[in-house]
Amino acid sequence: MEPILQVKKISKVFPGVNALTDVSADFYPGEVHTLVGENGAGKSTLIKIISGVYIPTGGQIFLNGKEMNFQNPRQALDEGISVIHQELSIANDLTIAENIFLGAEPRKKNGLLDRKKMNKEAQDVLDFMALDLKSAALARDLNAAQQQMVEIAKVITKKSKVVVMDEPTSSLSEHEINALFKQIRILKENKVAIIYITHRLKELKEICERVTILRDGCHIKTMLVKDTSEEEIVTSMVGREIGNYYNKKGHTKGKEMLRVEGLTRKKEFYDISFSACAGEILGVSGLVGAGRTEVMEAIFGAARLDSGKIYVEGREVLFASPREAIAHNIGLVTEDRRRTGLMLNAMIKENIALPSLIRHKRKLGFLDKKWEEAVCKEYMDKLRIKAPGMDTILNTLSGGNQQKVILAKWMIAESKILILDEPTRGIDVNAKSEFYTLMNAFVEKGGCIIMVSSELPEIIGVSDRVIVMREGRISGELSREEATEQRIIQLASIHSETE
Amino acid sequence: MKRKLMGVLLCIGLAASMLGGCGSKTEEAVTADTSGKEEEQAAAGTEAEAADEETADTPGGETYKVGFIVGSREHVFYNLIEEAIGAECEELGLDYTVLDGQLDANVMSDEIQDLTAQGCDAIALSCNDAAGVKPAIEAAAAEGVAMFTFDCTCDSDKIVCFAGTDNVEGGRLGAQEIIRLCEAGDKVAMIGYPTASSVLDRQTGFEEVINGQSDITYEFFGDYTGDANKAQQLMEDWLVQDPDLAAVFCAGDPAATGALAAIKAAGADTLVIGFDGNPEAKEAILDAEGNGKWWVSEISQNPSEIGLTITAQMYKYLTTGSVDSDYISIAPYIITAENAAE
Amino acid sequence: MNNKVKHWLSKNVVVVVLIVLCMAFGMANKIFFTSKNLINLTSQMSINALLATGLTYVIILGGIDISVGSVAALSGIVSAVAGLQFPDMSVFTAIIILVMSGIVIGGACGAINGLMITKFNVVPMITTLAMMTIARGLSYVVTGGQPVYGLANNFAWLGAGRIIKPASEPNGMIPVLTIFTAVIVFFMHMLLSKTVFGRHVYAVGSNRTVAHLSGIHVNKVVLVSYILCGITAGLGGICIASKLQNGQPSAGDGYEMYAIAATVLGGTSLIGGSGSVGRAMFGCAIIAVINNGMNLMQISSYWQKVVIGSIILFAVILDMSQKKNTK
Repeated sequence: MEPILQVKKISKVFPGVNALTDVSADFYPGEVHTLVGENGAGKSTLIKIISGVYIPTGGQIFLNGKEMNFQNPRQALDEGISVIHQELSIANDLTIAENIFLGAEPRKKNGLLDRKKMNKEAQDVLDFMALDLKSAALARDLNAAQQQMVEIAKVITKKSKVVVMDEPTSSLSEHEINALFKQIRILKENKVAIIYITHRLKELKEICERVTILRDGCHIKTMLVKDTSEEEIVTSMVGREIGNYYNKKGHTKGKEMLRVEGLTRKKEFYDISFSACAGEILGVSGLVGAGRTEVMEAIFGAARLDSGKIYVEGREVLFASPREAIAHNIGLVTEDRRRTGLMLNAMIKENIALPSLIRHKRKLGFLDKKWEEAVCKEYMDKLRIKAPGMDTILNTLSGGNQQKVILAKWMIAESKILILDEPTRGIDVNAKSEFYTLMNAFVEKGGCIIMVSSELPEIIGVSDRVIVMREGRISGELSREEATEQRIIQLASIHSETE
Repeated sequence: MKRKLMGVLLCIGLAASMLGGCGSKTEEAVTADTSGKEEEQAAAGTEAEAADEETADTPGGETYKVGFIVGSREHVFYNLIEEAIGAECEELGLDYTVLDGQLDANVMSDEIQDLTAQGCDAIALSCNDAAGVKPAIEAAAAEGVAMFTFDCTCDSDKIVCFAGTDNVEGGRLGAQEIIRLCEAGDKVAMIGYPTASSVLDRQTGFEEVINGQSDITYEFFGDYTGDANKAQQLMEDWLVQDPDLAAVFCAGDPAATGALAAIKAAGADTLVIGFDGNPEAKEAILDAEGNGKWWVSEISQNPSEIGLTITAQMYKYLTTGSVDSDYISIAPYIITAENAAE
Repeated sequence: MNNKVKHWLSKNVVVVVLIVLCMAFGMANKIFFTSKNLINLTSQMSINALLATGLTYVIILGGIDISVGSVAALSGIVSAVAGLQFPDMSVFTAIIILVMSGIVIGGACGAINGLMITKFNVVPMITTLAMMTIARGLSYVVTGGQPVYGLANNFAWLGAGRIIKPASEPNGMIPVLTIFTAVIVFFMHMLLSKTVFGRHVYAVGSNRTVAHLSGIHVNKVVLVSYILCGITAGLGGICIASKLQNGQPSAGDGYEMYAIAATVLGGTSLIGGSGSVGRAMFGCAIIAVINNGMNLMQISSYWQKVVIGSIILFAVILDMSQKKNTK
């Protein structure tokens, strides 16, 4: 079989960094070829070169045996290379159909937009993908998972020869992932070559044929998935053996830190009651859209409650804004760190110190820059944040390091209750493992963590106790021993015809 | 990101273009206080009916309806013209409306249409942008409205009569004042505003006389764009180059105000000759121990006379069908400490 | 050229442009570099500097305030009207009247802008467009279209007075206006770069949601910033009034464009999140140098506009390409 796309000895040098050095790989039609590697290994750079976003400093790209010199993404797109980015490019104020056909709208003979045809074709694709969505709905009303599906629908309609998927599953729940894989299999049958990036290694066995491992911008090896094991891949990725991945430890449960009773916000969640203790990681599982994020935002004061009571360390509280929650030592690590977690164009130290500046201000409201720099240095060391310095702009850090910055931010803010919403989404294995260690350390010192996660192995591997949500309600609570993938899926699933 | 920036820049551009038309343009007709165009027309309609009734009710007497558009309500000069118009119309028993043209040809054109629709027999306006309002003037004339202009006119044979300051003559007067006040070998300057045609005329007259004067050097000219602060900066910069500048002719009182501030701050002895005849000029000239040491002379327009003349000519045309002349120059006059108190 | 120099140049385009302009004018006209002219330059850029200072806050927030020119006019008018009540005022009284008028009127206009934006979610462009029209209108209403004149000489000390009087310069060397402006600019610069509030301004401009979720009172930060912007505009306005010893209802017409231009030249991004008061001053200096240099060379004011516009475009393009490179 001939490869459809070949990259040969590709290099990319940024000022001061060799992002890629002599990377070669072949991509075959009808195959899913996964790129794995830690953040910063060069996966993103490689796909940006393939899709014309970056121009390589060295090497060649061949498509169907012909050398390509992409100067911009448009040229790559015209040659049939589509990309589904991790950060979705959905226009919020357009309908789903308009998004799917953006830039390639069907026209009537007189040149006017053929809205009827567009809506119908878009609906066909959505139905084909077995999605319960209306093509005329506004993209604004979709959640992250649904927007991702629209992106995939977009690529399907473009009939691309090569599709690059950058962590398509990172924001999807188990059952949405299955739907996605169904689509990928159909693409495979149609001889599309798929370049796939993921941090979820268990997906490899399920969907991929070939895997290429990158480390520090270099090609380590390419293997057939059927000839390898998860352990071998992980070892090649990090260059050493990883022991206890989740670093799971039993914790000593302390006093009750947070208790909520009957929290209700109409159309989002109803009658939510649970408690979380010091020295405990409480896992919150459920499908995307089950209302987990909304509950956490309401507890943090970022959304209003219709009814219900919140107690922090036994005292009833009512937060009108996040400011008040922070004053009660609660911290929230949001689900979408790029949009709601970080100031991407600001420095590490500016991000880290933000919620604590008020507490540490000097006379007349002056900034305590000495404190800021000292604490920033302390936590960069403690959390092993890899960056040239505390003045580094967040945008240039890897996902794992960005997430550590957010964690540092709340630790500095003296949070005792940390709410983590999908904390390890899109960060690599090594960084995840480190992150779990940090979580454990925090809990051991008497902190309380509430972790929302869609990844079952993570929930099971990390939590001391698990509550499961389904359609805005708590459908069950499992102790550490009871929590198995099967039990959680049972509690989380919607028992209806759609399943 | 670029798109966002573009958007912002576009908005700014838009706003900038609106700047010109966004002072306190409260459209306040004297007889009808309305804002929306439709309302205005509706009001105009009822008003016209009312006027008809009135005419019918007044046996024998004929009430003429006349309309005026002043350059801008934001200028004292036009305010004084408007006062004179009002007084003269009351005197002659004319039914009159005065509108604010906002120094905008577009606004003026609409207002000419509105006044025509209200049934005006004659309309007088100041053509600050002559080319811009010409079509509207000719359209109104074609509907039988007698068209008059004041202050600035327009090159059209439909204009029955124009009354306005002879600005070229004003410029000449300014130059003559300078010659009277200066000695041989002195250097002088002028602050003007060449985009305004009336002010350009003053420049023409001034330069005609001053350039013919071999013993006085015409050293600097600057454009103050109607902004007193800008005039101050011009003067400040000139005084650095030539601290002995003898006199400056300012073709507008804001220019004179700015120049005066710069001269005082620099401790120079430059004399100021202003133009317009606004109250602040008179006060400055009278202040012998203070501002009067520099601001010694003023070329004054005669706005009351302009307003009075044009109204009288309209009345004459409507009642007798003729005017004294199709171009009436209202001579500017010189104000000095001797006559400023009058 | 070595890389470090290149890097510095690309980061400091505005400084380079300023130096190049000064050299060019200096060569074309020998008066340009005289101390007298340079000192005049500092007072000539003062009004714009005051306006741009507050505007920097608002633009860092990702907002805009196009009402600064009109607010300046209104404050100037009010200070002049107030000044008329004290025909024998001392310098001290004059300063109190001027500064209070600037702070009260400018602050009130800014507060209205800020409240409209925070409480009623009106877009800053529209809110301040309305304020621009209202403030200009009020200036004419208060004065009836006429300048306010007849103010005591001490009224002009702040805007036109000079201190340090050596024998050779009986009128004084250093303009009070320059010192006044420097004090305000210094205060605003420190507030933005050294205080918790300043950091909050950057945070809100950088990412409003993150700021809110980090416990920052976003609306308060926005409101205070617009008030500060109004106050600096008001102070700019009273300086014009004092300088001219006269309240002009048409003062400051179009000054918002120069203030925005100076801010943008100083590298403040219109998208928000970055910028600095200090750098905006370089923008002000560029504009003042162009006006001054071209006045000295007797170049028509039409060309001054063309040149200023072109330099803004040039600076923004350089700035954008530099940002692209660091990505």
